[in-house]
Amino acid sequence: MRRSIALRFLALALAGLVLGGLPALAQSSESETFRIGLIAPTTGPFAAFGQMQTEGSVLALEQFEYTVKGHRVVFFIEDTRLNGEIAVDKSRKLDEEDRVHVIVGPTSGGVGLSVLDWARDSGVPVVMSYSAPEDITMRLAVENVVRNSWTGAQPMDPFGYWVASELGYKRIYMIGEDYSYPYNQAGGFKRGFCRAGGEVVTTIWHPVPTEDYSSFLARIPRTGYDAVLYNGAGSDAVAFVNQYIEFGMLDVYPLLGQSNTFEQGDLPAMLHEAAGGISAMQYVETLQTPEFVAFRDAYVERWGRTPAAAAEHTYTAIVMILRAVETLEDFNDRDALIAALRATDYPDAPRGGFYLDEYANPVHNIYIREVREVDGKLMNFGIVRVPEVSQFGPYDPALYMAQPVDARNYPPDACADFPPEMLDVEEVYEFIPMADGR
Amino acid sequence: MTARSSLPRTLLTVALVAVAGVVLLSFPSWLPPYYLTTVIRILFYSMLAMSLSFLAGQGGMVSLTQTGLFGFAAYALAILSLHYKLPFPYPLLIALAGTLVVALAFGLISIRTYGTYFLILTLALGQILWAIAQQWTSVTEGFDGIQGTRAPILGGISFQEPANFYWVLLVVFLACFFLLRAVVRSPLGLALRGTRDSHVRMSALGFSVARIRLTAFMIAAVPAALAGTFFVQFTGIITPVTLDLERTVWILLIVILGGVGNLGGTVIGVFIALMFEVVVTRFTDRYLTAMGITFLLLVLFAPNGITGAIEGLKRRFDRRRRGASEVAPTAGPPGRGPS
Repeated sequence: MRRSIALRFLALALAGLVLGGLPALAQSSESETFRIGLIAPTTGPFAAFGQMQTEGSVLALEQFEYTVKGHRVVFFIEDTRLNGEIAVDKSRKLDEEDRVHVIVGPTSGGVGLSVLDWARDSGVPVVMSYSAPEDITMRLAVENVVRNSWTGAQPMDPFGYWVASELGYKRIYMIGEDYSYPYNQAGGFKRGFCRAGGEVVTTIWHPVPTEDYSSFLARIPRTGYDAVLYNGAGSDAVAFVNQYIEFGMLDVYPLLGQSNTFEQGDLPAMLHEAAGGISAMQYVETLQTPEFVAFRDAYVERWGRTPAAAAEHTYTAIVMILRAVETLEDFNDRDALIAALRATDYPDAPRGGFYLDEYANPVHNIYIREVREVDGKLMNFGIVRVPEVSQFGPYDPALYMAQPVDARNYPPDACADFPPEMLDVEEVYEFIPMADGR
Repeated sequence: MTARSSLPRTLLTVALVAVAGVVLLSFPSWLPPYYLTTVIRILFYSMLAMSLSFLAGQGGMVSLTQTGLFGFAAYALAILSLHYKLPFPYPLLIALAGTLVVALAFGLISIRTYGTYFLILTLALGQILWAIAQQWTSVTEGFDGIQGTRAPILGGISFQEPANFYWVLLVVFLACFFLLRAVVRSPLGLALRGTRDSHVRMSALGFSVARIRLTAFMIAAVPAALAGTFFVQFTGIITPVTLDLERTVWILLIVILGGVGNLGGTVIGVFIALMFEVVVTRFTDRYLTAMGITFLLLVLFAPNGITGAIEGLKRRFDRRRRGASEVAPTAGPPGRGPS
């Protein structure tokens, strides 16, 4: 019996030896390749995002013919399963074993924060292409992590401002998913809304996921508000919007959405009365600018479907990385690569040009979009473009970051309870009406 | 077993232990970094899986709350060290003590149930911990989880270095392994197996079945809690996903894969499961499918897990050899040992 235990440990140790031999087999023998790793949820409920991120990356790499400055580009994809721990483990694998020069990707907030935490110690350059917690490029920002997508509050601040100033709404009833991304979206909305003269944003949170909204819909007061804003996405949004319509609530209040409520991938599941829903994002799938049309056509030709934001954001992440590498003497010089990434200026990006601010988050167009029905199909159409929106909105970064992080109960629902310094700032937004999708 | 064979046998054992010890201790010096990372993960998940394997195999208690305890320890450590900024070792000690208190409460609630009822009750308790992690956002940060926990730096030695971390973990892992093994072989282990096989008869014999089971539950909580603290200090993060049903079932599958109640087999189960993640993902996204098929084949052809299958082969081989030499067996057929 004692011997069998010893044998077992020896077996364990030998297994380790075998294990050690594996990477030698798998590792690319070339040392002069430029290596990019994508971490995305390619399995599980968010697999659609992972797929779009993969497709966007591959399209960009193919346009560069997997070559940068005469060197081959090697691309690795790892599945995060939307789990922070697995994402960190995969990032470690990409760094320690595949020796990637840069990592692109994470999708959800928690995964992004987890990868940020790992990147802080490892120093590996990371481009956050779809993870939106604002602190990744604010209070927790680190030199080697840049973002080319957005923060939760970024599209919502100008949207809130526009809803109060242009639509003239003063009182909003908001129902949202109970986690940090919607908190940040609500925070941005409330700040913009209150600055433009709004009065109240009553916020109600529901657990994720929720299938039946009848109790929430029944609780909405039938008078005293100007609109309902649904602050959720995915299957929750489909269920909410359809039940809102079926309850006849459209006759009571118009429906607004958060940035992802009317995602193009979810619109086919919504009733056609969802047409008229308004939301704001840095992306709109029916943009008619030459850059966007070229991107969309290439994507449709390659993958047979229209690209959504996740695809564009990962596509542009790869392009900005390869363009950054083109400016470098030696892409193995990590500091130079990080500096080049932080200096990104991408005027011809499909979504509209962007550059990174000093905290490495993009400054770009926000589109206020309306759902319309064309040939029986629901699609988002840009109605107003707000150029050069930063993650801080009109605020001074120091003032913004001195505020608490957006949470369930912050900022306050009543605009009267806002800190005065958050209401009294010089406005910077320019609302440009869009015609023919541009 | 004769006296003649015992001396070389002892020497052989010593030699094997020495070789295994040297190989295990020397991992950090030659294993590629990512594989050291994987070995570290194998060790802390093995501690968690051993906790369930011990309860299920020895006590017949298929507890689905062990991942909850693992997660509780991790959350407690993260919250105490990051939100309350307590210096080492207080977060660690309080986290471990707190987990034992939770285990005591859960044990008191659940030990009076058996079989499926015990499984469902512990599943519910574990999911309560998950729901708290998910929804008590002011403390646990909800869905996003808590990032930034680090292993301590003590007397100039950084345990954030994978090698140092690994050595400490290895020692703790071996301590847990031999602790559980010792319990299995102790009178308590025997009594525990008695409650597993017939709790009615055990109480008729005058044993306090509840006390035996509660003691086992508390003992099993120790490796789970320790594993949780190593987990959070190594990965730096803890999110509700770690406590969720998928992880719980994953651990249960590993235990079945390795052979329920077999501690060494459990380590092999974890090894195989993580290797699936590491190696199979190189070739396909469908590693969950691959894992599922493997599991299915295993249940069909080796219902006692991998170690059960190996033992079965060994037994068959022994029998054939005995049959060939036509020598009557000197001892009875080898019974299934406890470990």
